[in-house]
Amino acid sequence: MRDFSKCSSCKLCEIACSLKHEGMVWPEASRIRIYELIPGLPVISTCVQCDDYPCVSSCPFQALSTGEHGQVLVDENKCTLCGTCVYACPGKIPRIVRGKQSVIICDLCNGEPECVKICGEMGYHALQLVNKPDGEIVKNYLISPEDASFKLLAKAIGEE
Amino acid sequence: MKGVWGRLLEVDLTAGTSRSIEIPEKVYRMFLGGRGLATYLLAREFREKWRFLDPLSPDNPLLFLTGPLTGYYPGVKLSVSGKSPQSNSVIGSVVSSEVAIELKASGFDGLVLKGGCEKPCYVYVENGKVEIRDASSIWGLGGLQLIKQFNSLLKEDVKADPKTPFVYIGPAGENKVRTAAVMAKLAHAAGYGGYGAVMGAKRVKAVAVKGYGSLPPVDDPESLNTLFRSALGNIKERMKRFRQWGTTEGTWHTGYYLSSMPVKNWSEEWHNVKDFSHVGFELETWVKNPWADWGCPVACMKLSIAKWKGEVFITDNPDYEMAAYLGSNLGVFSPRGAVVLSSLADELGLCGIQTGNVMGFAVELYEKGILTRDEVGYELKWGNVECLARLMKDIAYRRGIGEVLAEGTFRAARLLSEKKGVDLTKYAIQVKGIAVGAHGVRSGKDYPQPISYALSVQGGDHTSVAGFPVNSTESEAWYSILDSGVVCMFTVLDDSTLLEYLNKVTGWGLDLGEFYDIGRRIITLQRILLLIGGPDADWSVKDDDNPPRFYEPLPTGPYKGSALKREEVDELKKKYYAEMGWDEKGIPSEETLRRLGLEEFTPMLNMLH
Amino acid sequence: MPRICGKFSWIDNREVCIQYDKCVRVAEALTDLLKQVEKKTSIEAVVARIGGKLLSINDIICEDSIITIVRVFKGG
Repeated sequence: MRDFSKCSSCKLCEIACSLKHEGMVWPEASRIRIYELIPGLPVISTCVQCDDYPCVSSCPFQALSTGEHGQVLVDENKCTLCGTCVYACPGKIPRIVRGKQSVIICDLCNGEPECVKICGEMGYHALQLVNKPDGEIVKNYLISPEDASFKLLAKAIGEE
Repeated sequence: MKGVWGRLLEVDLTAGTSRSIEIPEKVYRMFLGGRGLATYLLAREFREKWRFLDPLSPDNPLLFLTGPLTGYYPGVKLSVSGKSPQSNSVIGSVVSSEVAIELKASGFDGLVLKGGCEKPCYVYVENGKVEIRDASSIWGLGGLQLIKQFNSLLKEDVKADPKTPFVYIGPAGENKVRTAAVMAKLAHAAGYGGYGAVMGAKRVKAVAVKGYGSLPPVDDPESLNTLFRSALGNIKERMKRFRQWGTTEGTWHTGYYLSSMPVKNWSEEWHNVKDFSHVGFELETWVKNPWADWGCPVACMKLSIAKWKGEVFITDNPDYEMAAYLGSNLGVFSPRGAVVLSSLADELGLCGIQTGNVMGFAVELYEKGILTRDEVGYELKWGNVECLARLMKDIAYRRGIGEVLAEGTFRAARLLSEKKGVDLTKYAIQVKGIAVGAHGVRSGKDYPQPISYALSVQGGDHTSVAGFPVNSTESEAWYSILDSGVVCMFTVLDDSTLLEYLNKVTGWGLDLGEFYDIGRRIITLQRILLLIGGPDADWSVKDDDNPPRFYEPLPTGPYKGSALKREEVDELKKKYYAEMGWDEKGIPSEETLRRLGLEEFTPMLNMLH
Repeated sequence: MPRICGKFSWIDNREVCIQYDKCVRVAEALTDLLKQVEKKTSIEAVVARIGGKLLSINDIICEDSIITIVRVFKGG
């Protein structure tokens, strides 16, 4: 769950995620991404763990599966970087990153997401791990960063 | 080497080529990155010919550098430098921009622009590959409009990733206004030094950078990770008030409490307008809180808007310096007024400090009848946002009176003094071509000391003040290290922590003495270039002084009557020169150069004797 | 009953002491100590250590201590 108004755009979530998964500061390899197309109005973008997991079912190599916390898991040995899951995802969330041998998707850090932790420690509380609500409600987060940015701007400046 | 790549990306805009330049580890160890590295590279390239380098010619390199701490230490700053069109020296300006991270993720420690484009261009660097593209569709734009259009242009023109940060100039930079800044993220500016004009002289509208890799490996990753986490927590707690109130808190704290805030061109330094405080700004202008830069646990920024004459003005907070210089300094004590002027400065790509200073200078001259209505074309009045906005635009477009004011306070005073046959320097609140930051010295309650600005190698730069002891956080050596790290001042811990951090990233095992020697080395070399100066102005020991007004007593407030004392300044000056290993004229001695490993620059001293 | 002394590095290491009758948070001690000196410095601008250990403003002090205080940037 994410709160755009609480997100400060500090990107410590990206830093924490890459440190956890890659052992170094590698923002491109972060599974969570903050888009700041309009300065001051960040858009949080990451896997929402859809009910129907279109990415998982789309993979021709069965490289994707789900875990006990509802997260998507990537089998690095089976992934061929074909990119099918990227297009199956309504928000194009899975990413192919140069230097990585398999696609990257948020795995909820096995139930204790680092991004949520650091966001909370820093007092922003823009990210929260919650039990998934039923239905497709979470997919509504998969709006394009450009569209989301413009809506946030219109809201901020009181445009009609 | 650890923490840095050991190479810079150099672009020749005239030839349209680019190449990688190797920098040996020894150089980083002596100068770090950012301001220090830029000073070294510029001194090495130009030496005595520095005197003849015109900052507004395309021959002036424009350097965007990171440092060994970039990306590892909380927060981010990109160093911007070259030969400053304001001071004719190297000013290590900084701006918070993720371009610093993307450069480092591209496998480079920095980007150097040489020469110039014939037609408006933008530079796009993708994973180290350089493209120089046509910018005619965005030339002339600024602020939100520029950001939106450039985002689209990047997408169409080079299929850039939507997370591609950039720095840019506004119309002021395009018009080579000496108070123009290099802008980032709508409301951030590398203002000190006036490098917006340098970028405009190269006809470069923007620099966009995308890197796909990781940062360079560090010497002790586990230990560093622990340090990182504890630093984040410590900083976050200590800086809570900045997150809540922003630096706008200063409008009350520095104005009412410390009595060191510029009011009407520094003719006063105190106010008691309760609305002109962080609470007033919060209630009237903030729409989003908090707002932070990359890796920052403070989040001192907020997004502010003001609607005026049917237009929406959007900016950050504004930050203290902007609220002071485009607020109280111009007699504006309304938060909305300050937001309008701050937003306008952002949009035009002007440094709020330098421009607010020259505007204050102009309004005072008008008030005293020295500048006439005919010369200006309209009335100039303290607190009148309409005429002030008009004046700011005239400066950005070098129109009418804006032509001479666009030269910055020092040069405008010089030009107008000549034109009118009267010495106007007493109205110019600047040191060595750099307007003084919004923290005065007369009340004695704020942090600047009598020699803070007088002896800084960056003139009136309030973020690089000179002080004693030199091997401490009181001195310019400390600030020069921050500007070379490159570290944001609001996320610092103390010198021991920064040293520990540096050692864990690089593995250099420096001690505190060596740490401060880096600072001494940087400012000594900056000092030499400062004294060589040229081509249109240079400085000597007599310019190691405060603006004349700071010797005049404060007329209002709880410290009414307070002023600097000439004898005190002169005494501290002598002491400082001795401490720094400079002679009685403030010229670094040969022995000092030798001790700091700067022997190769000894011949440059001959120009100064 | 901690007696807390602050050593101000930017005022020639001048020492100022305050007697507290119970454990005190670093934030409070620093604020009280800073009020005693002639420059009006805010808590954001300083960093403190006790015996070389970096302090966080939420740390609690219960024993007699000497806090070394340095200024790291301008007031804000």
